[in-house]
Amino acid sequence: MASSNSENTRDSVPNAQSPQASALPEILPNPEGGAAGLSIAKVTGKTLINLRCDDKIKAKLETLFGAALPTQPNKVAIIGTRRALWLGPDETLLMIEEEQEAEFMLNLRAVLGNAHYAATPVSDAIKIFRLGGARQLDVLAKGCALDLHPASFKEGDCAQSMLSHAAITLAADSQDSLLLFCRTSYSDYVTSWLKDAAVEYGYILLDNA
Amino acid sequence: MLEINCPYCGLRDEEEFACGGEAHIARPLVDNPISDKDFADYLFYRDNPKGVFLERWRHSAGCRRWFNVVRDTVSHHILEVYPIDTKPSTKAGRAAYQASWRRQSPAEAAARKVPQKTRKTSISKR
Repeated sequence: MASSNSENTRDSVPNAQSPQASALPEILPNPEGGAAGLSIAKVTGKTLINLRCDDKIKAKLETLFGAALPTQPNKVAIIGTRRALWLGPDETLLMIEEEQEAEFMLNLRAVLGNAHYAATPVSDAIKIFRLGGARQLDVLAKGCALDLHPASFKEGDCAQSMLSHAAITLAADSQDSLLLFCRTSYSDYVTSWLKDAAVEYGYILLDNA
Repeated sequence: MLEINCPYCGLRDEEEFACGGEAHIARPLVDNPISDKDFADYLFYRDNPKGVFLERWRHSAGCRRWFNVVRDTVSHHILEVYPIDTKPSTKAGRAAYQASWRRQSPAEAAARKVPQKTRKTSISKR
């Protein structure tokens, strides 16, 4: 080739741009002033366990978990920081503190013995976010068809659906916040999408909640 | 877009669901003798009627469970949603179930258990 290597560097290419150049910043102030309309907080320090079993076995776990596991569709059992989400008639997602995982799993095996169940830790497969802010429902409405108004989706309710192209699980939580569960591989997409959808309201990305 | 009433999650948009095609196709049991032609009816042949059709659907973005739907393929009207291991209970659904050529097919007959005696002989012949 005629041109030398030094001429062929990125700097010499006109209008060269990183693919990240258009990425939105971590914090975007509310253009109308006041608090940001959406807050996105990564929830860390939790263990997620996917539990497959029928209602009879769920009943055996009430003492260990601290509350009756949900048997009604799309309901959440809440006890302290623990959550148990109904995912299907024989499927529950347990969220407990990370440091309690080893003991919890040991006790679970002791309680259930040879019963027909499967308890799979899925903490690495699923990312958790806590959404808040005055305009969080307006942001979600741009990509999710569910009616999330507190009149029909209140604390103790959960739902699995789509947010734009990503499969998500939403759970209404305390103080009007929402827990959002998504696949780890989709978490960048989901946060980017949320930021983009919240440009008109302003947003803030927090590290832990 | 259809709105489908998931037996667990209630009314949701069609994009959350996956259609599994024709419902009530019984697999011939391995112990029952069946010709290749009749087995092909089970394996390959699917109905595509203009009118009432019995379909399997799965709430793939929600609770991920299968269920059956009675749908009119002309009007897209959903007449009934019923559990996966049951038969339709509406008049239109029952009529469509009975009218299907599968009810008389050798493949469906071969999906029923044969009496214990006959089965034992067919196994020992192999």
